[in-house]
Amino acid sequence: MKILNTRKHFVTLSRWLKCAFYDLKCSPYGFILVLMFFVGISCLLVLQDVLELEERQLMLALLTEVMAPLLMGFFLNAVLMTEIESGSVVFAATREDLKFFWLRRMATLFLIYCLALGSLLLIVKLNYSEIDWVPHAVSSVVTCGFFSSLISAVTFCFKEMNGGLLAGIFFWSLNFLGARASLGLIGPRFYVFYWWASFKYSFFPEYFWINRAILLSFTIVFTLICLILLKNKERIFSSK
Amino acid sequence: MITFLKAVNAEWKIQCRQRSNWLLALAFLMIFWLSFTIRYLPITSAISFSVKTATGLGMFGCLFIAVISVRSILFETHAGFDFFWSRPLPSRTFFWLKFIATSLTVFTFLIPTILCYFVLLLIHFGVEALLPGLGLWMLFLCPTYLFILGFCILACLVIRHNVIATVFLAIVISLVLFQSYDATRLLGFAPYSIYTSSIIGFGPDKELVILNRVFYLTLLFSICLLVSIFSPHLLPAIPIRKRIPYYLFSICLAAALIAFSGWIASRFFPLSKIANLPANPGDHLVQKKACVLFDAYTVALEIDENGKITSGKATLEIQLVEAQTTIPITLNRGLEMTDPALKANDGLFLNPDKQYTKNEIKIIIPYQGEVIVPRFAYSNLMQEDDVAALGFEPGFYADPNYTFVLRQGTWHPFSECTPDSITITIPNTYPNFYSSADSVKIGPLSSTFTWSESIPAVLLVSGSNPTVITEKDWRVDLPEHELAEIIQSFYLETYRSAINHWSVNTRKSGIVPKRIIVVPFLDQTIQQDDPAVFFVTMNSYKLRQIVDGKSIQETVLGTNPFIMSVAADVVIAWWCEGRYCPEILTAYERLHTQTEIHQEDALVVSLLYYASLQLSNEMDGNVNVDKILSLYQPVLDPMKMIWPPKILPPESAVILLKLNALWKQTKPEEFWQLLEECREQSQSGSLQMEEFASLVQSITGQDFEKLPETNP
Repeated sequence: MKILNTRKHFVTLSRWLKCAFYDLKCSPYGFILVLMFFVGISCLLVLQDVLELEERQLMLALLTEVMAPLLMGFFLNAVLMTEIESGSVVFAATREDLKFFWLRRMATLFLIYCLALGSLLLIVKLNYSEIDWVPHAVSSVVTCGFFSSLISAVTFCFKEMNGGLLAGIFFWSLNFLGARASLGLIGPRFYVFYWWASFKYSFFPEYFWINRAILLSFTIVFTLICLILLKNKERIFSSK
Repeated sequence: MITFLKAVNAEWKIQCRQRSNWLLALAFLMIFWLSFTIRYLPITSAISFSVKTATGLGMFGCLFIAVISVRSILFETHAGFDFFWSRPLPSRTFFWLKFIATSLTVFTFLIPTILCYFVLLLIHFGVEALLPGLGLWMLFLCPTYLFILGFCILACLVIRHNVIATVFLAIVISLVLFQSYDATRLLGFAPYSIYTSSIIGFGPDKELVILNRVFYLTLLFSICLLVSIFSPHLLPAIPIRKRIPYYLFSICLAAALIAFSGWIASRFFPLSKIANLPANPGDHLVQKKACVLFDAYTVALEIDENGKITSGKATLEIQLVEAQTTIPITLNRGLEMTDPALKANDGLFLNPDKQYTKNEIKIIIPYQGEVIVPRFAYSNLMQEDDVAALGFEPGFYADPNYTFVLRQGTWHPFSECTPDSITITIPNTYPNFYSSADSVKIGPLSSTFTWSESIPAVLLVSGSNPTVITEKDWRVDLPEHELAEIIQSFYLETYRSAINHWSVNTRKSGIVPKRIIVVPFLDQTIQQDDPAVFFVTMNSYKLRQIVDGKSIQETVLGTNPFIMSVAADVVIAWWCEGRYCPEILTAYERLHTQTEIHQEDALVVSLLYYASLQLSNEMDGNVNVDKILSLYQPVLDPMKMIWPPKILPPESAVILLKLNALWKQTKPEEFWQLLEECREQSQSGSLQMEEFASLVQSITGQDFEKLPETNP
């Protein structure tokens, strides 16, 4: 009978948390500053007195579902690529698995974003209790995950940061600037900014959960692609 | 300089070698292909195709350029990218180098898209469309892309963090693009919703578009100046020894740029303000009722080579009124009344207490200026019914190459009142190819056209001659590169067939019109009997029916819906013969959106629709009118939801079914005679149901009320 080694697991978890803390310290200070700025600006924009409830929800959805994913996607793209492009990733990668290293960093930054999003939604909820925060949170987190994984997958595929950024901005702008055409073209189940579009074009978001589930599954697929691409260290290190 | 050029070459090569930048070419290509629908190319003009694709690339391309330029400007640490740091270049030169090299990179990655564009232009519009197409792309893309590059450089100078700068630029650019900055907004660096026509180019939007483009080039120079001033202070680079001439030059350039931008804004905003003014249909209705007070109303105007009205004079003699009356003046806002006692907003005030002398009864309104076409007049699609009923409200368009004047329009102060005589003087620089004037005096420099006996709807069409097609005794004045050959022949053949069949049915004189002139702006075909001419417009929504022929509509109609559409167009033009009547077209097209309907409108719409069904049947032979009308039977029963080809309110559906019963019980000649009588009656006033029933009784001997409401 195999006995569970609780101590070993505890050590692994504490080590993971320690590393995550160091990752956080190493993470771009700009990320934290931009998140604080994002929460501050969002509060100012969403809590304006002049807005109707519908407009307030639209503004909140615009910030959390449309703007935040771009910000997250671009920052999370730089998690590993800055070090890969500057050649310093080799030090981190000799000590541990590159996949694990990337995942942990992603998770850490994502956690920080969730805290920022949570604080924003809490402030909004405290001021306007009639706003349901759950769909906003779900739509934001899922869209952020989708964009981050998509951008990272393309970046690792090309082994250059620009690749992911270009693919991300292409997909994001098609869905945002060409919102009406995209919604008609790809349908409500696949449209990325579905929650925001439901306020913008005043329709009932009947496919909300299906849409989020589909996006989540895409996120998983893109994350798996990233892990596969990161499996071969030599391939990544030979990028330049 | 050689070192600089070598550096540019090296930087360009480095950027092009980056695999991820190849995605830029792919992104440009994808946006290009998403900007248009390939199956609609045969019915699209070259200018419309070029503008659509350039608009798409202008909007989305900015974001891609922002991404690659931030990387290229700020990424100088990696091996292979350290070329410039290893050579001591001044900071200003560094930014010029980045600017030029990134511009070259963008152009390089745009080449596949340009090639695709050229191939499509060549296939669909011919060799002659290549140069204008290239010019249009340069007009739209160069100022936008160069401005964005300059803006990115400025942003990177301040935010020297890769990701933050990219996020900042992406959000700022997309928020600007997301706002409704159409062609009338100066802030739109990638303007969209631009009027395009093969006949008149950008038409009313031409000046706005050009000013916008020049404004962004001016902004680009301002940005470059700012960058050259601040970069030595913000970057760790070799300081340059500053000299007084440098400062003087910078100050002079800055002052010149600010003054030029101010001039552009001062020219742009009034144009934009007038173009965006909302319609005021109420004034038109009040004025229409007040026309009876005019004993005489004459208009005379002179147009210069640029299409501006240099001298306009409206003279009216009014009756003495019993109560205080204000007649609204509906003069176009681009025109200015030169008499300081009169103001367009106040209208013409008539006081019954005042004892008018003989001279005071005669009022002269002098005016001058430039007619600015308001945007609501571009098309009646997606407009409120009362605004759509105004149609092409100014009734006048003039640029240095083209003039088009309708009788009814805000180019004279009382647009709803028909003048007793009109005199228009235009310079001989406009070759005249159509005028309905009673007399023409051709002078050495200008020609004077006078209308005094009869004043039809279309007065004058002058300008560069369009393509003239002469076949089967017909003369057709078509704009160049509007339609593909096969579509054009189908289009013309359908119109010819509709006009021929309809003329046989309704004309007693036997004179068949033999001329079609394609004109801009109108949504409705106008028929003028003397000389027999049809003025038609190439409505893209109508043309799409040719391409989308194999649709559900076709299976219901038994024919291409375009044939049905042309038949309706010709029938409506005949109904309004010699008049421009957008209100009839609006009633015909929009009734299904209304919950309530005027009885006379229901009757007229049913008559026109039924006549167009019979005409389509004559033209094609496959149209089964009974089968189509059987679809209107369930409309009477709200529980059964079946969509007929044209949605009509229940009142119209009942009349339609009765008309079909009448058709079956009478001879076709009697039916057409009935229609002719109805038209004459409606021109003298609105056609009421009782009058119509009595007409049916007198012409066919049938009791309209007792006719069956069901399809046999």
